[in-house]
Amino acid sequence: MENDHKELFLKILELNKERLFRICRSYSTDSDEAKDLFQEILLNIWKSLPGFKNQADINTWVYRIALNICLRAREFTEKKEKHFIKLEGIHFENIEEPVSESKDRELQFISLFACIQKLPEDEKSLVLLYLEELPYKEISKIFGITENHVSVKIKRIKTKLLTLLNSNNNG
Amino acid sequence: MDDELERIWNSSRQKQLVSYHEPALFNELDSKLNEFEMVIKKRDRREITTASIFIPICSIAAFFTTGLTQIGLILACFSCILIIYMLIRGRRHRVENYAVPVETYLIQHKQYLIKQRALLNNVLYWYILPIAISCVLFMVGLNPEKGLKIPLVIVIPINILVYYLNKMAVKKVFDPLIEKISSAINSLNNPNL
Repeated sequence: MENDHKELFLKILELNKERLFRICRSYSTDSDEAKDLFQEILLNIWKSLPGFKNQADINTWVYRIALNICLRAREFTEKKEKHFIKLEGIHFENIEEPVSESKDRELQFISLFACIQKLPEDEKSLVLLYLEELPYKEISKIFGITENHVSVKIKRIKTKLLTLLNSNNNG
Repeated sequence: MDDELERIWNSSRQKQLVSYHEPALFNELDSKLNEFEMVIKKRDRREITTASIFIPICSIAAFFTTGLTQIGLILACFSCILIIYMLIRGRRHRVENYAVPVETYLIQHKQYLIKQRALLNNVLYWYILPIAISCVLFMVGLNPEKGLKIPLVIVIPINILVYYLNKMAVKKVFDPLIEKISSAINSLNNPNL
């Protein structure tokens, strides 16, 4: 049983680590906080794994945990409380600078990243999952709202983000 | 234009950001999880441990005293039990399951925060008054000639401070958080927001 859990955990980690880290980065003020948050999510996934039932989609389950932990962590940041656990078995590459093909792209990414951080928490979570190319159906299951609802919200958030981006670029 | 955001976001995806060392990771996950659970257990037992020391001491002291001092000590025992009960009851609503949909998590967490806020708002009745009355009775009983003056001078400022700190926590931490969570829930429920 424990080997099954280990196997499943590794599968989750391998398939989602980059996505999860980008989500953590968007919920953090700096890369150290993102690393802490990422490790907190891993620990909670490992802790919750025995309770995972196969009828639920594993990705939906993982992103529910990730987003709920990110939302909770924001609250602790606001309360100025730190409560993270460090895992030495996890290594992070140089993540201070975003990686991109050109300087122009890099600036656009930094600008988009800054705009996403300005969004309210629920909108931020929705758009992050969208940008990470999760289907609407899966996003709706993660949030517990209808698919149609997700599509309307994402359309609005995208318009908002594009306006913010343009005003940043013009400003 | 519609794909612009995705294109920009995807430009950050070229490099692997996270790697792991498998055997070390599992050993660590298990040990950190145990550590984490121990911290939670310790925190949950903190009040009970304090009470298990404080209540017998007060009870024994009450047995050897008389009058107001004895009443003060007995009242302190009951106050202690009341405080522990209120703290444990408040924690019961803490959200521990993170694998629920985000909206459900937000609703459950909001309920927990509302209960915690109520606890702080009512701190006068379950914490300050019982302890303050116990202290005043105990002190007056010890030194009846000096009356209420000295006990009140000591007890009142401390309790005003405790009351003020709790009210500040409600205003600065709980009210804004609850409002923020409420607006997130509203926004999730209403596509037009």
